Amino acid sequence: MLVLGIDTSGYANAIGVVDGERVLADFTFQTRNESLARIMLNIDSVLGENSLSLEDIGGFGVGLGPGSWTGIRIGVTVGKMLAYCTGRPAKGISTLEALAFGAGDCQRLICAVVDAGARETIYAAFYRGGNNGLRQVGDYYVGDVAGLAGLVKEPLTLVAADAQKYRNALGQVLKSDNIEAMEAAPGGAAVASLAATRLQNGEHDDTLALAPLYLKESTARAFVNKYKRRAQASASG
Amino acid sequence: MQVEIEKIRAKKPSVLLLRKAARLIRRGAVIVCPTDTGYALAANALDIRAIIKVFNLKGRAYSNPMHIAVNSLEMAGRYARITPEAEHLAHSFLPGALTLVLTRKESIPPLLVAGRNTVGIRIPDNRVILDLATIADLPITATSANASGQPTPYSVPEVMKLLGEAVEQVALILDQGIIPSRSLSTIVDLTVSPPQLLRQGLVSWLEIRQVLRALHDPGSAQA
Amino acid sequence: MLVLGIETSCDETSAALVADGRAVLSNIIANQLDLHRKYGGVVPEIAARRHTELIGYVINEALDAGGKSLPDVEAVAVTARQGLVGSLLVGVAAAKTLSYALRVPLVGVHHIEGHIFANLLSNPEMPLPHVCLTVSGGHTWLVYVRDHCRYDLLGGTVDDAAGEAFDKIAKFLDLGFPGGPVIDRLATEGNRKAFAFPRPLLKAKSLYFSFSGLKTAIINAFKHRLASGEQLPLEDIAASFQEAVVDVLVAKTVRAAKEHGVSAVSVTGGVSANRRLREAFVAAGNSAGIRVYFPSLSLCTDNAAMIAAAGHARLKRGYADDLSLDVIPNVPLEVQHAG
Repeated sequence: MLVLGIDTSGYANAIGVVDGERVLADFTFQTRNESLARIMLNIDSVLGENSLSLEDIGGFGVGLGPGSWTGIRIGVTVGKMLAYCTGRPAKGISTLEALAFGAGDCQRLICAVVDAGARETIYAAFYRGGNNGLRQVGDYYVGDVAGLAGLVKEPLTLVAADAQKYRNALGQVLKSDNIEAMEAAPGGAAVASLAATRLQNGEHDDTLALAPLYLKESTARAFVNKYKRRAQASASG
Repeated sequence: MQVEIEKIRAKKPSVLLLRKAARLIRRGAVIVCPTDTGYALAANALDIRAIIKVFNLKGRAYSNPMHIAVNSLEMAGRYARITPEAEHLAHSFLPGALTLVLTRKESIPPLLVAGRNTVGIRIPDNRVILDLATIADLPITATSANASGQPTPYSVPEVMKLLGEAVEQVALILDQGIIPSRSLSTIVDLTVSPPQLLRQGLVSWLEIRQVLRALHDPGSAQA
Repeated sequence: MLVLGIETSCDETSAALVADGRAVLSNIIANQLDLHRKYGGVVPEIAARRHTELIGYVINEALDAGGKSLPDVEAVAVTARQGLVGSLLVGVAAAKTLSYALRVPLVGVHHIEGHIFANLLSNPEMPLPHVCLTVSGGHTWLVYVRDHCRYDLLGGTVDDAAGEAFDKIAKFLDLGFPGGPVIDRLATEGNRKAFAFPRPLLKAKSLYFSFSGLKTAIINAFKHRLASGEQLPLEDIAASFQEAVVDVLVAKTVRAAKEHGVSAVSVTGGVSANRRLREAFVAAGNSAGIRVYFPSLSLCTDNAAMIAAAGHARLKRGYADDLSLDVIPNVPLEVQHAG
């Protein structure tokens, strides 16, 4: 089954196509603040370069974040509507798992980290690779790097866009240098591969219900508080 | 002192200009040269004094190794041990934005690579630097033309802004215009087993892994 | 031509099917009042999240309720200009995908143009040119509508939108959010001459509005009494406040119509549902020989049918967008129609 995977959680359009286990295309377009403007053209371009059309796609992998929520909403909406229009199934995939996917061959515990964009907060998750694919270990983590260090009990491979920075920070707290760093962003083919496995087992999401993976209710509250402070400041003006 | 900037074509770069640049490099100078992943500080990677100039220009720590650009895998073979994996990946992805970390040979000065026994090899998909390496018949340092820690420049005005006063130490700038890709190279360490992704750049790690798997298990994926 | 319209510019997620720019087959609106009410106003991040959750459902519902399916859609129109950026982008992302997957034309619409078409949709016999007042929680604009897709901006608010003034007064008096409906209701029991609140800029030659001075005057007049726990005459305050707003809106709109020699005026936007506003407009119109048009109530507030109608008109005039359509949260109506 041909699966198209998209992730827009960084400031990029990550688009990939897999055929079962085989990667046909894997490209990340650095779109910065043009993510919405370019997404459809980029998808069309990736399909076109591989002589594919939308009709050839049997299923869709949709990156759900965490990451930049504004960006994620673009990919989730596009993925949802592609599945809806074609009548093919869709499967949402956590961006952290997509990040960890590239490190799947590692013997070590994998830690995927994404910047939350506010006050030194990060989103993270642990995975173990193996013959049966990735397995998440423990719950998602939302907090600062020091708190993450508290969860680290063994040598790690850390996967993140700023992997060196987190590796150094973690290393300082843990007083250890037994952390490997892999600088990577979530890839479209990773999302597609993870979705393909599940879709092939008949496991798919309710298309219209697809929504970003908002990790903690408190993140929404944080936005409300920030908005209220700003509104109060301007109202008294 | 105004640094010399010469416009150079991306597709059929002027041989005269390349020869001039090659002479400068052979004499130990540092120039700015376009690559497929941005503008680079290009110098003779075998010349200790030239290497020191580059480190100083960037304010880069000597513990941070630099990669080298060559024109082919054959040329790379003079400076690093070429493994079957490297051959396969080169066949599929090079010239391209992929850096292969391989065991270095004696010819590479330890100063270039922070004393490690590995070196990163690039065969960039850019005619100017490939021809420069050919004409100079030397491996060229392939580090971005900026001060350490700054973003990569993709145009000469960006280079000027990022280098600031340090640009006076550059003997020549080859201006190819704006480099469209705005991406970095993917870095893969082939000296460990299994090969390890160090940095995801333009070339997809999943596609790389797929090629490597086909090498070890030819019965699996078909290209 | 069957147009699927999508509107997500603020806090209402809406999709609609409109045939030939005039027959509304369905108009599905999911508002988020329950979400924002407790914060006393629209919280952009929450609005954007809600749009993402609802967009698929409202589109599906619009097709179902309209008795059509995806292959019947011949074009997609979406609000792409003017609104909250995080909200707009959900609608545009959905619209672009539909356009791509169904291989049908895509057209981006300015939110205010949508409101102008709300009236044209409700009252197809409306003459052109006419003057249109769009007045809502987020907007107050006076536009000279020459023809479909040909507009001149005559004036607008220099500070708060009229609907915003209603919200802020209601918040001050602890009446809840949104303020329009509750003030409208209270005012029917009150004396609109009880207080002579200022009518800012009323006499000024320009067609610009200002409401924050009125808001400040009311707050200053009553804040001490409110703080000391006194029972305020809420009905009278509501009626008098509303009258001040209505006076200005009506006077300037009628003046604009006279200055431009048109005999028809259209009043649209959420505040156009206000009873006193409608009453005052009709009376003023009668005196001045001007016919005043209002959209049906379901088309007053933000909705996708008006967007579909506007989109249809734009497509008919050869305006269409390609798949690089992006959102622009703040752009005057006029500017984006140049050329």
